[in-house]
Amino acid sequence: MGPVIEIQNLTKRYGGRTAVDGLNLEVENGEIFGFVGPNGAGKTTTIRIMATLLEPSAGEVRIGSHLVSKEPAGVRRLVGYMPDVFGLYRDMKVWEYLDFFAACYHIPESVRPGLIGDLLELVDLSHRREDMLESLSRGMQQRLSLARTLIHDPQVLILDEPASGLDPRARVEIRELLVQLSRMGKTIFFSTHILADVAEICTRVGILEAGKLVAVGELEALQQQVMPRRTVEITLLDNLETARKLLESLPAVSALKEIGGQNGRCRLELEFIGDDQALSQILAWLVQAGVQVVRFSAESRDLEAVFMRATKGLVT
Amino acid sequence: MAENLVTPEALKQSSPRPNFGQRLLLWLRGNPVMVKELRSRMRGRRAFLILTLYLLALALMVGLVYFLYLSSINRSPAALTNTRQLIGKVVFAVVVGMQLVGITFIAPALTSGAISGERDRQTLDLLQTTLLPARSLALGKFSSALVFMLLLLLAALPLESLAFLFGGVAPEEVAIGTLLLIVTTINFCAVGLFFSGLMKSTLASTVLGYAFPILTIFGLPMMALILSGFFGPLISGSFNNNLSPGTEQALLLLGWSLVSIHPIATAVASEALLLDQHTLFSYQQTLRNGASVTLISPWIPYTIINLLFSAVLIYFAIRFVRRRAR
Repeated sequence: MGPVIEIQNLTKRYGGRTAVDGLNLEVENGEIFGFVGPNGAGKTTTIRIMATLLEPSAGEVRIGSHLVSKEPAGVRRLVGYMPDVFGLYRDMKVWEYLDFFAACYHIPESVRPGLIGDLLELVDLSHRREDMLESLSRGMQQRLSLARTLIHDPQVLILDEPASGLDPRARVEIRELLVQLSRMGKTIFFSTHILADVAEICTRVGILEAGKLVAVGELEALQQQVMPRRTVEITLLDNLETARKLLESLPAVSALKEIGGQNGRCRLELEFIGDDQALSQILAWLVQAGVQVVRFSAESRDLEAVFMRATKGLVT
Repeated sequence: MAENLVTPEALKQSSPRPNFGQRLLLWLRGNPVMVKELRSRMRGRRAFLILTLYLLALALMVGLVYFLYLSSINRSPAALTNTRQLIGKVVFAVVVGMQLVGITFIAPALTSGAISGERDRQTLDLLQTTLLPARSLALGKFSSALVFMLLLLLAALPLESLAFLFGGVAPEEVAIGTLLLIVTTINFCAVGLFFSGLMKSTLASTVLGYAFPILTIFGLPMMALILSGFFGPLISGSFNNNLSPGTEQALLLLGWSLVSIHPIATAVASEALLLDQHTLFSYQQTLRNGASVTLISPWIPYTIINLLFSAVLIYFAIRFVRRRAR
């Protein structure tokens, strides 16, 4: 089965400014894809094109078997779209909001009450069914918004900053909901600038900057790709020479140096290129060679560091 | 209660060919925007307040006019029937006139924010990504406003019927008056909808949505007055001289067409034809050279022109909703 979202050479220009610049991206069925980038990188523009709201200047987006520019109705059937703002209707109750959008998707009137009940249960808002929309907290509105995107049982969810403006608890709740939806077989494409969300739940990540995709892949691979070299610090009780020889013989290790020690301990610092598997192998070899290791720490490569390394702070 | 409501599915199953009423109900209930708008509009005190204030204003005016007339009538038995009929006519004219003013101010309020308001709330994006056709959105907004306006017109019927108590008002006059009010309402609602689709902000669309009806109702007569001040003597001068039959006919038709685009002028001219020529539809006007021209009663062209104009405006409003951002 091919990718469910296929973005080919997508370009969007506003006058002389290029918001999205030759973007190529594929998202497989069932993925949770995190679309990361600084403000103004072109995330919302890309998402609005995917949601059939904006015409691209060049390039094409295919969702399922439908081209966004030629078959918007087919795309709308497949996609549940949540914008970065909650479209609030005053004078409307929670169930009426869902009922209205269900009707907009031509869902028969007889089916709607059951469907609305199920969705409200999913997003934990059953107890607010009869309340007016204005009385809901920001987190509840966001959950209701998510329920709205699910009303026609879409295959793909396209969510623009689903966790922005939420308190930590509400953010975790949304995150858990997304994981739950992914388990239900939905493909989730969401933009964010909150990196913790991405690290927690995404199967793959794309980093966008100044309209261009600067990095894409699984988080682990991305870290590898963006930050191949990392610093490792080792503290030994003895056998400094054995350790030094062993480490020097490894091609993945470079810039080995002694950085002093206390209480008879020695500390070594080295630059290492390789994955976590290879790194743990080094520790195993040291121990096998009889080196007494008391501390072995690799500089953490969290997403924030990857993000900072991948992007240059450019904004179109 | 819910099970008593007619569902579209139930209608489809129950009768293969629903009658007009059922079809209308099916259409109304089948348009989610219409259902949402009416539900929101009738919720709370706002709709009730508008209706009450509207009827109070009408009743006060009617009362005022009635007592003014009552104090000035000639109480001799011979004159009484005539006076009573006159009061009937005046009450009817006041109610229709007040309704026209009401339409002028309420119809734009209901429609000039219809689409731009969705833009402001950023809900238009949501609607555009659903399977709701642009046509349903625009028509839903339009018809929900229209239905509420018709409710106002309908609610004023008892006041209008007071005229029957006095006599002097024929059913034809009531029919034409009501038709003109409905057509004008349709037109002003369509104008508001058009501007709400055209303009990006609700403020701009509200200003334009009000400007059009106000200029039509009050501006056109003022303009006609000013123009007649300038050209009146010229034309009457020409009449005294020998005006060619072609020019006379053209001037007559031009004047008649101008009358047919203004609701009050249309109502007055149609009424005059009804009273003087006893005709609802057309009459022959004899020119000075003896030839005759057939003139259609202005309510007919007024209705046709306004309905066509409204249809064009609604068509463009749908186009504005459908338009994808570039």
